[in-house]
Amino acid sequence: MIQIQNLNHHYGRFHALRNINITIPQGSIAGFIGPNGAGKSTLLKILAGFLTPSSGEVFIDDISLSQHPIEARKKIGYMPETPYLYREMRVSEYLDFIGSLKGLSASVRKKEKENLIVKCGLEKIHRKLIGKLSKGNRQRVTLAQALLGNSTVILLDEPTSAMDPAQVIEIRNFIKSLKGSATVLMSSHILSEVSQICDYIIFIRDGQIQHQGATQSVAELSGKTSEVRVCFSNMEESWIDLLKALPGGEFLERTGCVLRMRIHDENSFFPCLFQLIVEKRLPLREIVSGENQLEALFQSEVRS
Amino acid sequence: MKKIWVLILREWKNFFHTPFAVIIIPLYLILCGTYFYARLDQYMNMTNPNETVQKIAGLNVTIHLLTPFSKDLINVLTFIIPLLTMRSFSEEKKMGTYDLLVSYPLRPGEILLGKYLGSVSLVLFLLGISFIFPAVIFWKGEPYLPQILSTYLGYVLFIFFYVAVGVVGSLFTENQIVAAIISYGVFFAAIVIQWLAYISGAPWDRIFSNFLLVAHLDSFRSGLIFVGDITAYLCVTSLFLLWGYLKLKQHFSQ
Repeated sequence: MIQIQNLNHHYGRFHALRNINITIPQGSIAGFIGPNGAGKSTLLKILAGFLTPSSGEVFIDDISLSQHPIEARKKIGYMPETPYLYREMRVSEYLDFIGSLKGLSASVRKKEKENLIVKCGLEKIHRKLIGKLSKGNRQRVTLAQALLGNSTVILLDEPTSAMDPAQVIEIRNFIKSLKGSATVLMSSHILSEVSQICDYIIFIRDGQIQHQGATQSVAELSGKTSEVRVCFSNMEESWIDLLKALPGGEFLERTGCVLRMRIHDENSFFPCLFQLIVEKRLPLREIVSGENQLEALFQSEVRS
Repeated sequence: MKKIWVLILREWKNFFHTPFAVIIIPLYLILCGTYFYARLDQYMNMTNPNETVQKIAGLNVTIHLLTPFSKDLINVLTFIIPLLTMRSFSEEKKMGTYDLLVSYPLRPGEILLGKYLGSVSLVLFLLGISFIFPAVIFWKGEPYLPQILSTYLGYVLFIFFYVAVGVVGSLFTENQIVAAIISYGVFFAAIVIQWLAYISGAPWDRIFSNFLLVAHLDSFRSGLIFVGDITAYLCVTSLFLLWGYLKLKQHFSQ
């Protein structure tokens, strides 16, 4: 669990973070969104222990970061936005080095390292020099070092920013798999990614928290609902009733073989839609997403 | 202690895995070798049979060859040490790995000592290589071993001090050149203060003259070990390390 109480931070005269109060429940995946310069990276750096806040308190699993910095740091895994690594080291050697710094015994280090090499998809590159890796692969190594040592609080600053689409899907699935076992706080500019992965949203602007809460409730603040267009190769009347009956969605209109639907609950709508498509062998051509609620909220907040 | 050891090993690996070692070690050996050759040549000229008998009678291989060479050696070390220490924190800051380093469960003292002892051990390794020159004299002559050992003890203390200056200096900048200039600057400032000792009267002359820590090496070179000299080095070293510790501690408490 991450608890932030009355946190303020100044860069000289600039008040970067103003009276931040956040509680992220244990085992949840929280998305941290906001425009550039809003204070996302500053807050992540404070949580990682790199910056000391001007005032306020941070608790990591009920351990005060300022009172017991070493104990709190043992629980934190931090992945910075840019993959900062020792370029002259090999991936495996680097993970070993970080494991030693985190105080892991040789046997635990070996076991965790092997485990993370598989989980983070580093099998093909773990013997390579870090300096020779692509940015996306270096980002995977940075993610692996953050997870080393069974960290219970994972801080991810733009975790998929330099990855190719295949890597992005893999890493998103991997982050999702952390749900329940670790509390994850990730910042991202990709709002669709945040709404897909995160069950808790924190919206920050000008160093102040604007909204925070469960993803669906924050998204609904936009006053808009998500829409999708489901396109089929051909259409039979009997299918429309089945599609209308899908939970979490609302039928809006039909134009030829294209149905426009409003989504109220993505988590129940999409699995049922796909189940129906598979069971009835519906000739699905594509599903086109309309405006994302979170994107709408972001736009309205930035404009205001 | 284990984490400090991990950081020391990292410093060594970093030194030998980069082209830096390929530049520094030969440069150091060339400079030392050149100075030793010049001093040996000078000594050989003094022992030339054509020289006057009185001059030859007073010659001593320790005083007339190794002591002048040891003065050259300290000049070489003064030049080399900032080149080694400039990387310790500056490089981490420039690469961005410093952010990650302070986010790990490491105490500020562990980070500082790991970096510091890593650099100290590298410079001691270089100093150890220089022992090859007295060893050559042992092979062909009879130098006075206690005097050589006391000289090396003084140099070890000087290395403790000067590496502390370099490592702590590198904490304040991500530019390695600036970090090296800070180290040279501290050394130059000490020389300026020594000049002040010449132009100022008592009691300032005695106070100022103590600032040039190289001057404390004279007694070690003469084979004399004074507690005051040892204390001077250890005090200034501790002072710089304390400064570095406080700087690093900023990441750990408000």
